[in-house]
Amino acid sequence: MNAEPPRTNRNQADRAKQGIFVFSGLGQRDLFASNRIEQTDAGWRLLIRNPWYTGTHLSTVSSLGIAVNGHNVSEGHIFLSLRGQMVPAAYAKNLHEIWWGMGEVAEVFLTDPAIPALLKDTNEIGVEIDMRTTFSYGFPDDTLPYRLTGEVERG
Amino acid sequence: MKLGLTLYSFGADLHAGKMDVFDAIRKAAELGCDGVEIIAEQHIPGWPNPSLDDLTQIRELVESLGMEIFCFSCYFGKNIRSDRPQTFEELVHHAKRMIALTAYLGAPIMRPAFNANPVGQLIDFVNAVLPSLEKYGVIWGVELHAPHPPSYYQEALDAVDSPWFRLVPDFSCWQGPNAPGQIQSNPLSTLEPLLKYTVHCHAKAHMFTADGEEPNTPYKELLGMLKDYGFKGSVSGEYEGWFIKYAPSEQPAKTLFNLLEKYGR
Repeated sequence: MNAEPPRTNRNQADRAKQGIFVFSGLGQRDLFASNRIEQTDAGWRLLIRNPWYTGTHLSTVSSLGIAVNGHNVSEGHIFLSLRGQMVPAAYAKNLHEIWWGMGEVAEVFLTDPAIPALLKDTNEIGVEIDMRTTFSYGFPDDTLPYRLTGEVERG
Repeated sequence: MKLGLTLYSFGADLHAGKMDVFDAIRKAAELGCDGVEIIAEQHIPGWPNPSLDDLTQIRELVESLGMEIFCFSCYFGKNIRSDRPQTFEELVHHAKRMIALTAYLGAPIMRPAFNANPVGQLIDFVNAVLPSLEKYGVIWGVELHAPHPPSYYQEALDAVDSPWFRLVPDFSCWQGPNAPGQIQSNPLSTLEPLLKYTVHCHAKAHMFTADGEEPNTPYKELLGMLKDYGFKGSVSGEYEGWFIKYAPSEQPAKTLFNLLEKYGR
């Protein structure tokens, strides 16, 4: 048996940084459930998975930002739909009753009138989600700042 | 001791939408598990308001495959709402509901993830639901996980002093310094005084060598201590390497379960 406990050169802050890095990688890996951005009656639609490692209350999404080819879509033009229930992204933080399951695909609808002129055949999408953790993992402000990207084709 | 897997080990495919809870249960049975651990927020369809029919299907599938549900894990978060933290009464209400669901699934142990900081907060919480634990025959297994020191819950265990409040040590506390996220490893001897409280263990793994060992976790020694003690509880292999990179879940789950059998049978 070990007589002396092995020590590391990490502290809690390092552990939190490593956690943000690892959780962000997981979120990035599975983020896009489709490689297309498609026009629908409700707006331009993207399909994204819950990036967190478990299901979570929608209220933990403190903010959701989307950029299309470098253009930041204003919050008022972003809507999120889970199981057909559509809510303005800005209201997500109030909706603790709505659940976003592990790996569950959410529809994101963008109503920004600037989007058609921005779209190319292949498009760079930025997804920024500030997700509050329901208990402490040691992240600053108990928030995991997802800064994710991906390429989607115009459908 | 009984050996199995937490379905958390299949997280790579569950997170990617390639597998559901029923697939994962069947895979665990194919690997020869005595039982499984199920996590509410990851695995139960329709969470947080599951149908009794779904819960019944899960329970019956596990039974039909000759396994048991070792442990029902859940999260007792305080920061669910953005406008205020959960009140004590809300936490107690939630805990009582989880206790009843644990009993419905036929699991003997509920492992809530809860920030007990300071640990004294846990004592009032557990005492408030102790009658429910006794009524439903469910043990609250508090999880001891790195970076907390092995003695972290001793005060709460002493204060509550009940067979319905016991310990779920996670092997992370004894992982070596190169394990992901490790801050302070602990001597193996620090497990010994905890064995009398231990009802279930999480056998943490992040990676494997070519010969199927977990390079940062002393499985042989930890499982050997449990065997020598005559531990009659359950051990769930908990593969967490899926956070770091994707691999089809079945292979690491199989490697981990083989490791448990190698040193735990």
